[in-house]
Amino acid sequence: MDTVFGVSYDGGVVIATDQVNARSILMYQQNLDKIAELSSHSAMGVSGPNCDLVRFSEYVSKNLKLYELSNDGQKLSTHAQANFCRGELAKAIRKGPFQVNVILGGYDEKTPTGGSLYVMDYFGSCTKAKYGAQGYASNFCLSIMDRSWTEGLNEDQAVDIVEHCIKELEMRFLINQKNFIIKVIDKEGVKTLKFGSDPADN
Amino acid sequence: MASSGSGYDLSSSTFSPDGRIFQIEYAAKAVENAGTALGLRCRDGVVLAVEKPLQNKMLVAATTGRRIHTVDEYAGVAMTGFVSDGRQIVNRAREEAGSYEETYGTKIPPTTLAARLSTYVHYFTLHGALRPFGASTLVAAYDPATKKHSLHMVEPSGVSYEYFGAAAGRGRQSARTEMEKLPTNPKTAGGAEGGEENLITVAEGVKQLAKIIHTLHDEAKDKPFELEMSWLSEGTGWRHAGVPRATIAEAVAWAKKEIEEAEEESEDDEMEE
Repeated sequence: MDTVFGVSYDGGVVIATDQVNARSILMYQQNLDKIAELSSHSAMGVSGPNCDLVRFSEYVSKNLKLYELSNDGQKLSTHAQANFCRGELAKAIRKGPFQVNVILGGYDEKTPTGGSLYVMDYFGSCTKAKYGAQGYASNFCLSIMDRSWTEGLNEDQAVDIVEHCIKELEMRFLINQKNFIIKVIDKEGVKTLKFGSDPADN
Repeated sequence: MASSGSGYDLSSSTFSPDGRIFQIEYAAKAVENAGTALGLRCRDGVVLAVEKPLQNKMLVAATTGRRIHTVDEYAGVAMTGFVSDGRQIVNRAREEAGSYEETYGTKIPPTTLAARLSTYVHYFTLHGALRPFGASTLVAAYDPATKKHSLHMVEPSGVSYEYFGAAAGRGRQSARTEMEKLPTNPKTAGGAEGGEENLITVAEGVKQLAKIIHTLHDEAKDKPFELEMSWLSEGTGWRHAGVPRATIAEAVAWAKKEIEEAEEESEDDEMEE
């Protein structure tokens, strides 16, 4: 049911997810942050049960931190982080799978456009993509992205595409997802652009 | 020479009263008595060279007993000392490079490879039943992510540094003196201002290393030897490869001529006196 999608642009990536945490007929919360920050310049939008979301994202981000601590502050590129993630998913699938489908996005200085996006599923398949969507959302969002995405987008244009996708979901997706959280990753790091609040919050 | 161990040298898990671990020092001695290994970081690549003494006349030369090995697409290792010990380090280097690429999908950064070998070599200096490696390894590698090439040397103690020029084995002292004369440091190359463009190139480096090895080799005392050389450079696409035998032969011919001319000059000087 989770909506996870991402769009890359010239200078970074935008990742967006819904914020629903529900099971059966019960809505636990409407303000869940499903975009886990992995390192200073990378984050991962995760779909799947909340337990696996937390287990997997914390496992990955702490291991990446351990690498930095053990290797004299050396940072792993987004490509390396994505490969690490997919390796862990692949190892787990036949033992105790993480039932998560993720979209990992990050910024690296040395690459041509800076931003790169990786789409992975719970088997451990991984592909670098310009944009992507996981779950039912893909039925609605991919065609919008196919139409609107071009080379050389800037941050505002990428966020526009994301907003367009959100409007489409609000209009046509059966499951009501009131709040969406949008994070942008560029050379400054990871920043939260927009997020919604839970009705229970005062 | 070195003070006697007198009881503190029986195990690598024992410090001496003056803070030394004799077993590690003895391991370093094993390296000091072996053929010279040299590494030079040049502007456009890294060159490795090892003097391989031919132990006896019945040896089929130019076959087995390689001292330089490729451990990854862009990384190579030269060793001296106990060759069998060095071989284990080479195997470990290949494993480390392979497993890094499997996990992270990228080539192992040179500093990380050197650090992993350091840790491995060091482990053998403090684990009960094991003995230290009696080999020094020179690691030449290129990092495609940062586009930088570098040279590291790992010693039997597990210590490793990055070098402009490194030497291990019999002729290391004189080799270091000779290598210091070459322009390898961008801060000082070609004069006070330095500059990248004044750095020695790989083509020149091959010749200079051949000359150093031949200068240090004493015809009377040392056994006849074979010269093994390898490089990674812009010219090889940064892949670690053996220097073609023809190029080595040319370099050796040039080196021998230079050495002869230098000898004649010094003979002339002597005669004039």
